[in-house]
Amino acid sequence: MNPSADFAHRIAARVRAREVSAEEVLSDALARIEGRGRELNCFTSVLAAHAHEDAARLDRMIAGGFDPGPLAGVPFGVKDLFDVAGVVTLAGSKILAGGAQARQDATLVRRLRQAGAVLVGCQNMDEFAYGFTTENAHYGVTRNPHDMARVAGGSSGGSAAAVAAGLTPLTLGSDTNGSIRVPASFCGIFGLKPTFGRLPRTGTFPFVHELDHVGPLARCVADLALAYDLLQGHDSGDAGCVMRPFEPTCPTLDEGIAGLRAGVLEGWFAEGAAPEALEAVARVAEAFDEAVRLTLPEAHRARAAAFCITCASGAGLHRERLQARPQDFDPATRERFYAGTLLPATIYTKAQRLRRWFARAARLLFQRVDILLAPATPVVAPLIGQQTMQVGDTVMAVRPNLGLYTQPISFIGLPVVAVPLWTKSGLPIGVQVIAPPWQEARALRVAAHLERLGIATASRPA
Amino acid sequence: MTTPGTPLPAAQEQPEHAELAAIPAAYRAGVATQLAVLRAQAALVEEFPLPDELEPAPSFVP
Repeated sequence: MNPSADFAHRIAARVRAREVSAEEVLSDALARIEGRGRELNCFTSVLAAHAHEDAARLDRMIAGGFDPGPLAGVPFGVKDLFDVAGVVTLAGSKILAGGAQARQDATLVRRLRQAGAVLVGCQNMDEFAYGFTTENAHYGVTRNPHDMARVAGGSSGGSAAAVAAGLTPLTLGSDTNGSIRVPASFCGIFGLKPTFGRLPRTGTFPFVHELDHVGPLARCVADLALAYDLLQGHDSGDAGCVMRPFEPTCPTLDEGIAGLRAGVLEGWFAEGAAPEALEAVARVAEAFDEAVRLTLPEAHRARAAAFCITCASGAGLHRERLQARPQDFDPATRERFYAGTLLPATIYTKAQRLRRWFARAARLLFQRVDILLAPATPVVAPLIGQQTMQVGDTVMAVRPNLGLYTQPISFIGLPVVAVPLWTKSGLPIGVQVIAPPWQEARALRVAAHLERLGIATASRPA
Repeated sequence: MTTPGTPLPAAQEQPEHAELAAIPAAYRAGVATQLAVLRAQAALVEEFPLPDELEPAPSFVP
């Protein structure tokens, strides 16, 4: 295996042991990004010079007897809404391209670099994170590594595809309505959307302040947990970041799931899902000693409320840009933002009240079970350019509806690990492993167990 | 002031052309399509009864 296509924790162990240099790992990663990465269109910018400087510095540290950290020499990429010092943060837009360069790294970028990871570039996404397909009108479509005719999912599509293709073992994405979990599902990798307020968003371009989360994507649970533990910590730069103690997840990854009760969500989360999505959930449920079927009431209204908040809040954020440069928006984004400007404030407020009601309903379910399970997506990755999809008896537009099952969960900020399973067609599909608030360790422990059993596995780099 | 007993107009029943007047003409057709989708979602929220004491979920921590 190419050195950069290995898991992050193994790369770091080899670099720290001086079996391979950070520079060798980086050169391999950059070669793959130049080749396979171009085919897939994962990156909007590759920071080769920047990365070479970092790798050389790490190698000098190691030669001098210093340990650069638990991610020593691990190449990583970030969705192009994370600030990187000296780079213009595009957020998938043309409008921001003429803006100023970021003066400093986003907090999470800085934390990974401080742990020894090497930033190699910024990754493609839906414009302003408003979409689930990464079919970007300005920077092109990101292709699915498992089938180049299909989308990678979005809006963290470049980040998911890069991990699945083995370009970098680790990336950072954001998830407002499903933008980590949907591309993780389509690309066959693991993705963590932490509890709302857990990880600081400082230095990221917002989409919907009320709903934005940030988190890692990786090809194994050990990497996901390692990165997550390094990313934890309050940051006063994000008003939504909650002051919590450091709650490490790596030490409990191998504890198994004995005694944990699973609840398989039915109703909204099963209606219309393709058979392979339901089969994937059933396979995960079989791993538990106890699994019961549960309904999360009014999930369709929770999804509707998330839809309304997203549209209204996103529109509010971009109102001046809509007035000044409407022609420079992706048409699909522009039309939804314009529609959002017309949503009455009474609906927005009611949606926020419904959020609290729905969070209580979810808490009641967690009195009966420890983990909830649901499909991450209703279908496997659609074809590029596909406009509609069949969901049950209904033909739906693809772009706004791939998050049908993720939106109600992020609406109330629950932590989720999206785990990859494989269908008979050879394409992956994800299952959401959902934990109560602040219980990321539990969700990761379940994911690790599913991985050990071979139920949920990322493929070798595609 | 509203006359007691007179129902308030539902938000989604406002005349569409009046709302869209603020949108550049070239984009109105596409926006109207998205607005119809949004209104359908808004109706699901609006019709659901909630207790009066239920506050909006916080989005700001002082």
